[in-house]
Amino acid sequence: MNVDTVLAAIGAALKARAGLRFYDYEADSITPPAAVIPAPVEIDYDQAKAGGLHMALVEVFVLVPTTDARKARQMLAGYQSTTGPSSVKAALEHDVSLGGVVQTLSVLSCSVRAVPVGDHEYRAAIFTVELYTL
Amino acid sequence: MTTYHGKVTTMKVDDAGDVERDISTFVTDVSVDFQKGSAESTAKGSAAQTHKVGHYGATISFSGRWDDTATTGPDVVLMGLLKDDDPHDFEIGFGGDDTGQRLLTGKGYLTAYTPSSPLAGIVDFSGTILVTDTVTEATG
Repeated sequence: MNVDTVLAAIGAALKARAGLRFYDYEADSITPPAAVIPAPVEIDYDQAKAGGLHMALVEVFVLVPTTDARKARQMLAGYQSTTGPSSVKAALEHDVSLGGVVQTLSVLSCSVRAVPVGDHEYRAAIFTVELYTL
Repeated sequence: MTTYHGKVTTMKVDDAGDVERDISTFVTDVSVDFQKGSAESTAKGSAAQTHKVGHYGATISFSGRWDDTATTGPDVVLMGLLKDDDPHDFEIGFGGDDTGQRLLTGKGYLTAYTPSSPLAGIVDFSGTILVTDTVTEATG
């Protein structure tokens, strides 16, 4: 498993299919709407014999501006939806191999909360992605 | 004494065309159940049972992550074996297959193959190989 490659592939899928800017680190400042993908929150190595498969849980933070509450909610609804042009689940599961980078992935869940970035606070939809890779 | 973590275990099977396929990286569990037949030989009037033993046999049970990769993936390999009526080679290295490791080898029939899909989780499979004839304890 190459974590950098996996995170880059997730970011590329979100950019290409949901139109999101992508930060693969916990940036001090962002331009919303944007996806922030820190390091995997959990990696379970050796899920098959002979080093065959590893599982990682990745949290994808999709941040929207809070200056307009109604617009923020509408934007989040688009990202949370299972279909549509800004659906994060649809963007990531369109190709569950991310172009061959992983064996498979599934967007498991989504929760919403306020997330501070630098001096700003954003509303964030946080997606938990389970992926398996060699 | 040398003990091993289960992650090093290897499992190889010949496909229906007798080409060796290493399915270790798809397999999550493997066990070999050796059994020896026996018959009771107790004589009338005896105070306790006596037995005579017969032949030994073995069954290999395994499970893992289902994968449909052409030619080498477990689904292709195992479906081929399931449809074939001849026994094929297997090799299991509980301590791995590096030089010097103890390997169990022999021939067997794939008698069960079960792909399964849970709602929350990765698609799995399980299989059973009925060993025919002897099991050889070789050194890799």
